[in-house]
Amino acid sequence: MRRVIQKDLILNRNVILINMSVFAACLAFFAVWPEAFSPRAYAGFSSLMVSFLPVSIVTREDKVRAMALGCSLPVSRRTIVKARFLLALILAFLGVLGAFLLGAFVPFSKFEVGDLFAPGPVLMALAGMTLILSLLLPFTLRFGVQGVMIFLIATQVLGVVLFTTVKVTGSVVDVWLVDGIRGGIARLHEAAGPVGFNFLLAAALVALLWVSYLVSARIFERREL
Amino acid sequence: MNGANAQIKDPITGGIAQGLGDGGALPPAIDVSALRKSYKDFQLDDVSFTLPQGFVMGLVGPNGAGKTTIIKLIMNLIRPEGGRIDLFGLDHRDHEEEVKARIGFVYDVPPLYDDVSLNTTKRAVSLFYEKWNESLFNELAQQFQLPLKKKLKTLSNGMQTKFALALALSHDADLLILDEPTTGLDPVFRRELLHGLSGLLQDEKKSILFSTHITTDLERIADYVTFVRDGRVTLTTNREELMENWGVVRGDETAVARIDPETRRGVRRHAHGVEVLTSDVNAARIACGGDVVVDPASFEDVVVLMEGRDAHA
Repeated sequence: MRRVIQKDLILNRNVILINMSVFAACLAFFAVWPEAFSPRAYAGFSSLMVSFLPVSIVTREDKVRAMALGCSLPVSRRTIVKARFLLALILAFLGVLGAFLLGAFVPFSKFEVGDLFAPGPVLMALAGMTLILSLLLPFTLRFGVQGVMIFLIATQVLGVVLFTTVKVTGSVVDVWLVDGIRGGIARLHEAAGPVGFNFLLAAALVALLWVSYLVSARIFERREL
Repeated sequence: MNGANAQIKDPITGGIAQGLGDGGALPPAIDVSALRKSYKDFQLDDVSFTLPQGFVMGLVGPNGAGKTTIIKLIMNLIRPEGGRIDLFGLDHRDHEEEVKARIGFVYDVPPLYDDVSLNTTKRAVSLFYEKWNESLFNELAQQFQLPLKKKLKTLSNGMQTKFALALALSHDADLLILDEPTTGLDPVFRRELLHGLSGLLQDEKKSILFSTHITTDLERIADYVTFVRDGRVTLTTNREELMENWGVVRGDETAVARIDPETRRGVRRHAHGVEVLTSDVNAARIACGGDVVVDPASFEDVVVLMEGRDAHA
């Protein structure tokens, strides 16, 4: 697994450096922009941005048709998927950490260190990162660039459908769906307490990531190159 | 074309190479049996052949015959719908890492990152092989005149193949799987490459599966040959068997009609008469007498005559 990660880092070094520079510039801008995000929104946005970095490694491999190289080397497909997940988590985690340090220390930033390095934004970033990677990686490993496009289009369509449904049905969906979820989370928070809730959230994210890995491994083993 | 689709199992080894210097039986480098794979417009059906260790097998057939599909199946890039593939006596999927560590591969289109330098690609690939030989790679790079600092996309197809060959040859692989490696290479380098591959076989355990539609390449180095057409193996045999027993009989319709239909493997009609490919040249010579010309069959004769298209059709 270590060799697969090393291979990906060697072959994608420039892509990683260029993407990180662009992300850093964007995040620095949002950190100093007076009208910009709250710490939680900054955390969510940065997790979204950095999660696309590991995904871009897979899509690039697909784009240059180099997947057959990785699958011809002495390593199983399951190991390739495992390595991709681990690398994705490492890169996203380091990306989020970098984004928080940038947000806290870039000159003229409106965030204090304590604003970002607090349970709320940290959990928001970890949750965002895990959610995006868990949903996006199976698509990417199975369908490559096309998979990312399908995923993005599907989420857009889903958003439009939900928005339209809320508008058409008025408060019905709003009450049943949005309020229902919000109320459920609040009740869970109350019942489990802050520590218990965070533990449950972390457990749910780990479970989601594990299921995503199992699905990805299964479909990548069947992918024809 | 009676019997054109018949398969001939290797009569000498029966699929197992015997005593190659170490006094024991080695499992075949490649043992493919009853392999099946279907696509919308193409079907690979009941493909079986065996390559004993220490030998070169040519996988021959026209474009679109299924050669690349067979190689992709062996490399586990695509999944078979039936059949079995054993490499060095091990199931190719259950022991994927183990068997692939012993394989050097060159595909018709190298699946390499085209926007990174050759040096960077080499660094990434070499990580996977414990037996990677850096000095051998440098020697080959020098011999092939590879510009290691340049990006792959700046190289011609021939140079890209040379780079893929250098990678494949630098980790002491026991089995080389080469898919159309000579396509795009100049004749001088092609001959050097074939000479180099022959040299590699001085180590008696090294084997090569070499797919090509340029049959003259195979005449130089192949010990075994497997002919593929329309997704089926039409013939798999060794070169001695082919040279000794197979032949092309040329004459008129009446004369060649005396050849035993059981031994007829292909027929081609043209303006001056008929050519018949036979798997029993001695019997054909006796049957036809002096009314025909009999020549040994070349690999090209087998491909062309089994194709069965008339020259003036």
